[in-house]
Amino acid sequence: MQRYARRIPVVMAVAVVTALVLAAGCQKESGGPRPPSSDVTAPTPRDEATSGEPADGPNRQQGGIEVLEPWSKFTGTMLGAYMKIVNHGQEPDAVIGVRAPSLGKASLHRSTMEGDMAKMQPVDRIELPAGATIELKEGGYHVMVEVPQDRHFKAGDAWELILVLQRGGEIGVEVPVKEVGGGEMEQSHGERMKSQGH
Amino acid sequence: MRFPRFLIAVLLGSFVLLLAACSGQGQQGGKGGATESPSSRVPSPGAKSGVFAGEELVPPVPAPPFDLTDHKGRRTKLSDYKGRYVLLTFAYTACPDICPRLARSFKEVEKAFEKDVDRRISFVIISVDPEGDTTEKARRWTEAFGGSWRYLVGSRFELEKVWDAYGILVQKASDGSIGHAVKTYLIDPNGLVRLRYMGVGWERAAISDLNKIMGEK
Repeated sequence: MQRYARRIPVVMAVAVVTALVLAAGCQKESGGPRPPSSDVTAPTPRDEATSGEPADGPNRQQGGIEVLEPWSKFTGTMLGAYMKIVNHGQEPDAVIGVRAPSLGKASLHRSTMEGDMAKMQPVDRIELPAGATIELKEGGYHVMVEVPQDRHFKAGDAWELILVLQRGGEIGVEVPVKEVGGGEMEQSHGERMKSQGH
Repeated sequence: MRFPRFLIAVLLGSFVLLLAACSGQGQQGGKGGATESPSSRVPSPGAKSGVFAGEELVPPVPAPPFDLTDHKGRRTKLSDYKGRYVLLTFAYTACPDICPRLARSFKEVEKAFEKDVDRRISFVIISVDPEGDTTEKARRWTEAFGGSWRYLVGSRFELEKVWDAYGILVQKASDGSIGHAVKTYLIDPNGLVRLRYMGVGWERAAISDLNKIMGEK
């Protein structure tokens, strides 16, 4: 009896740890939004879609933050903008706002696929850790811009987007329109979304 | 000896509880069918039959009716489509990735059945965003894609009944978040739901299934 009694704290500790581990497993399986780290990448081989475009323009750098390969899609009512943002600096930064001066309301969003539910939620900021490349891409972060009723875009048109940074300053980006109405099947984002799963 | 046994029982109990909680949460994330409300009149298909690439409803169920307004202001009812196959999906115009992808799939199927579009087969999109999707936005969106579909909008009251009947869970939060189940149905000329396609990227499956099913007598 004495022996067992002494073991109770050990058993309890094991139980608590096990419960915690299991609970952590639960959270992962619950299909919440993926942690931002999934959008933080070391340079990887590019999709054909964005390779071959000029790497940077005159206005795409500010305080060690650089925007690469911006592109957008036009859906008749909205522009969705995607790009890579590189923080070359030693300090973390963040995108804390977006503006599209010649168009309408611009906001940061994040798309996720949870089971058979497609979700989109507004986000206040996108963290830019020192040295990291953050990718705004289909099935992840994007900038959404409401387009006035009388404005139309065709592939090859461009529009101005301003990213507001937390550490001060703004970056003006000329964003080309690459897709109008869903784009081409070869670059289907369904496949890309699936492959992002892991 | 009694004490440890009790402890073991407690431990086992908490294990089972945690596991149950886990699997419950996993399902909420949504494997096929998990996002259906109890009022859905289109049940989840069972296993694939092997005949079709899509999920087959055996037996087929009558497609729940709808009576809504399209992107050109035309009143549009399910019964208008009697005698035609209908591909029906759910979307909203402010949707950046998935909905353009669904529209693109519709376009691919349109291309494959060019001569039959709006004679033997029609395409319908039903809005999941009554506050955001106006007739005018639905029109601009449809025109940007150059689609032959009718994009149906309506009040929340009108649309909710249709989502429920088709098992489309729609979530909208005050912060502007929106979520919707991504399911596409094939309805036959007798108004029966025959096949279901989950998610995106089903255009080849639908084209092959339509070739088979349209050959039926």
